[in-house]
Amino acid sequence: MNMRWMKILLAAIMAVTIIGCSSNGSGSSENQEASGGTGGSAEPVEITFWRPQADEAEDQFYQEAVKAFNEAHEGKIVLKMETVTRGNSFAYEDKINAAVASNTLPDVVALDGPNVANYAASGIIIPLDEYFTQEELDDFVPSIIQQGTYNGKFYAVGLNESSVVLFYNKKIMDEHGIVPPTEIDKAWTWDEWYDVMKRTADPDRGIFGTNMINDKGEWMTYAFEQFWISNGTDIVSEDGTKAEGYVNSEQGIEAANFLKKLADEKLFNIDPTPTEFEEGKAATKLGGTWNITGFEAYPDLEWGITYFPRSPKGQVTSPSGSWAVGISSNSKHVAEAVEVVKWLTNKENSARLAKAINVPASRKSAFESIPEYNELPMRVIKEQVTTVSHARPVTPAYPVLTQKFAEALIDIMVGADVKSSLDNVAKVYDQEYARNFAE
Amino acid sequence: MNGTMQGEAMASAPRSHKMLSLRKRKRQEAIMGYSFLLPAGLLITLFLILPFGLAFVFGFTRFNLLRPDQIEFRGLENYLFLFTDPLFYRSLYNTLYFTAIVVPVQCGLALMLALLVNQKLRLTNLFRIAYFSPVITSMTVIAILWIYLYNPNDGLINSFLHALGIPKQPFLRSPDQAMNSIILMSVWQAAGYQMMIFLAGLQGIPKELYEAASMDGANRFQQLRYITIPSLYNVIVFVLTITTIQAVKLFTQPYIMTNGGPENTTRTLALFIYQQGFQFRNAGYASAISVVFFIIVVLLSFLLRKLLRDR
Amino acid sequence: MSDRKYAAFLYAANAVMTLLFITPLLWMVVSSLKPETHIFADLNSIKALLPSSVTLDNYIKAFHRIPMMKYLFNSLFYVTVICISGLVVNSLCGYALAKLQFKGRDMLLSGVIALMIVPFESIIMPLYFIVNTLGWVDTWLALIVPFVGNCFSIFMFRQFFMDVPNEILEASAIDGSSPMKTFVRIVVPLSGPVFTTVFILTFITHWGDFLWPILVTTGEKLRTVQLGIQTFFTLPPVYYGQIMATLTFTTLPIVILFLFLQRYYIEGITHTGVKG
Repeated sequence: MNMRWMKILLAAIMAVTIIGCSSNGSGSSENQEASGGTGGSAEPVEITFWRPQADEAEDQFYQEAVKAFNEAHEGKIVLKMETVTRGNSFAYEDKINAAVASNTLPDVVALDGPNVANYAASGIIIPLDEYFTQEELDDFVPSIIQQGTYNGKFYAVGLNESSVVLFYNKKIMDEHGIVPPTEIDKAWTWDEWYDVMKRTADPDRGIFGTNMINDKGEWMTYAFEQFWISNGTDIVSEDGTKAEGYVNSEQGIEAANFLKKLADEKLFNIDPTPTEFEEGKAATKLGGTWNITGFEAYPDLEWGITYFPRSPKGQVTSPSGSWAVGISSNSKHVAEAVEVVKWLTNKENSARLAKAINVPASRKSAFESIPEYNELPMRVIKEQVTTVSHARPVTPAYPVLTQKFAEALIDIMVGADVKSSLDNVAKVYDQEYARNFAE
Repeated sequence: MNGTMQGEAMASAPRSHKMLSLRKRKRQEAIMGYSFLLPAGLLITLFLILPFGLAFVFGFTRFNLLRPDQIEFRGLENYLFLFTDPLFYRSLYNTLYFTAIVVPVQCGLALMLALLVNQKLRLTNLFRIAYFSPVITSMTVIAILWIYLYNPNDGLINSFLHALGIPKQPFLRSPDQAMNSIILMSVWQAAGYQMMIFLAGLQGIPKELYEAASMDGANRFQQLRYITIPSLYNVIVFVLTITTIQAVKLFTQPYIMTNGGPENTTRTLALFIYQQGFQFRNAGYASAISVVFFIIVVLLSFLLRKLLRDR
Repeated sequence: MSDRKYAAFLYAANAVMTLLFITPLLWMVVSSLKPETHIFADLNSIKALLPSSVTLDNYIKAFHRIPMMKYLFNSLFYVTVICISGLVVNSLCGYALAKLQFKGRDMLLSGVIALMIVPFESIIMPLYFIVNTLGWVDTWLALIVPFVGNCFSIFMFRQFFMDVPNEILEASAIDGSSPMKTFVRIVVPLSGPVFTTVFILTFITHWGDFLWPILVTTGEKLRTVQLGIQTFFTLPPVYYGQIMATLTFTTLPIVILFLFLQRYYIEGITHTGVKG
């Protein structure tokens, strides 16, 4: 009996694998036929574009950009955008994975900055160097080039930039006579920031020294890797091959210990309500520029911006990175797809998107058309983005790195041993890299 | 075997029937049996057995989810790695712990609730709906609500404890409490589900049995002990089985609430598979874990059946 | 214990349990009626469960933001089709496994039980390969067909059909009815509760579907309620009032459905002698 079932099962597996292969084959030949047909110029080329759903303002920006693109390329290119629901941190990536598995990727695909290396290493996006001149590339802020480059080739163009700054509650600062720095070389050190938190935290009134989101997603690596960088190390080696001796280096442990100290002394709320800072329950907030939109619902809140705190021994630095667009290797119309990528990231759209969602632009020239960034408080953001910000590590094993690093940090903040938690990150990452990515 | 004995018992009754010979009748019944099975059988073969078979094959390979074309046959590599992976053992332990607590607690509570609402009270329908309402609210929604209820600082539960003079608890943020917190929420969410099944069983117990028992002077507890529980035996076995199966698949709650932390105390096998397969894109390794997971679950079900049969 | 005391005890026990079961959901409903700024400000006291400055603002804004009615229809449609076709297919299979004699029956039953425990997460990737091979991505078929045949439902039907007395079936067979006729005329009318139960359980299982619809539906056309809800959790600013409003609104149809089926469920159990 058992043997017979095994045979049936095996036969069925073989059948589906064969069907699968042949149908994939016919699928791509169909595509080729379609592309052959467009040689004649009668039919406009259809370019598909996937991006994750965002908030209203951002969605609207893309709808308008796509509409404008189609009007400008009438009769030549039709851009079809599909907005993918992004319920949890990984839903969009799950969908991309599934599409890769079945060869159904769109021509143009939006991807989060740190995924560039993984997608590039897997060959699902193509290098864009030949389509961009040096002059064009020079207009992007350095971190955009950094996040888009893997193995010396440029793969993905950032749609905008992002930054994390230290917001502060003006009323609370005034109460304690604290004046936050307004010059980048006077940015608070960890010790100075700690001191501010110590003075302003008031458990009786339910006020915390700071507020930092401690979600279980990308935020942890995005924001806290900078503590490692500022202290003179990083969470992996520059070529991405090794975490041992980086994430768990002497300086790394120091950085983690600082965060642990804040947690131990309850200077921040490990499970903050989403509107803690807005309600005046936190003196400072380590947050992204996108938070500003939410502040507007709280007229009582008077807020200011200062720089991302730096290590007493190290440099000023700040997080960066954002969603970018690349071209999938499934695309049969690369030239038209490049047209789309350039359109979406041109100076006007870069500025428009930056204004629409309160994020820094990805192009230096775009900043010129947004005067707010020349004045305080927004000047802080511009300075960080154009001078000191660092992209996240460029490594094909990034998914493991970010997940394990985030898990370790949360564990440390709720009381786990610093050294062994970080050692484990190094061990798991190095194992993963050796197993799947070493030559 | 069991089947043939039942078959003989069945066949003995219509022997008097003269229209069809026993043999012919049996053959006709078998044909009907197969055709009754056919639609479900086809669907399940194509959409459950086949994908599972593929997962089994993938278990011997290594490939990145993003590059299925670069699939490499690696023999037992994944399995050898699995048995040295401390996270696998941790996830296995967590899964078994959750199952061992949730199954009896949830089924016990569900039976109690079913007894409470199997009465002709004025508000019975309202109570039933109240107990069932968490079930019909999707787990995604429930988990999000409970993150706020469990908030270590100003969650509703801590406010309540505080009012009673009990110190605030860290719940999901503590390695000691996180899994138990998930257990509590899961029991709360799903007990209504088992309650419905028990209720259906209770409704099927003939009233005459109770009438006879109370004429014999049996009190309510004795009725429960000697009529209700034995009559429900099949239903209880069924409920325990499905609850075990649901419990070992634990995924959504830790996925949304803790993502396996703190210190891996809420990482379950299903979450481990998902993380390896989808987040880390190690499709081969994830498939190997799925296969081992499946074997463990099969063993567990056999154990459960054996335990229940011995009773 | 006298009957009156016993009834009082039942009321008290039910009241306590009801309170425990509905408080979190009450919080959801109450929060959906509050202005955004009150939701978390009220969280640390009993105020969290009391309405304050009631407003429908959250609902209005949420409906303005996404076409909730359309998503609701999509979800109701595909889940109902799964449930109804599932009832037909799985009840037949369950009946065959419970009451018909044929070779290999016990082995098939063990197979069904074993397959009940395959976690969906472990087959989702190969399942996607198959659905894609069939060309079903972004069609209703992808959302529905893979979930019609369901081992859990089969097992459930089988368990309940086991308790249908053989005498009834034999009587019908002696009258010359085919197994199909016996099933439709005799067994189905006796089994209202099972069908209702399986319907409800299948419905709530698929009502919560999330990962699969994300993979197989790409556009607006087939977007389901669960995906619609997630719209509100995307990038900040996240408005919790709108989330609560959407959660409340999407839970409502199932409560109504359940209320409706609940009545039928009780009426269906007028016969006796099936169990015990």
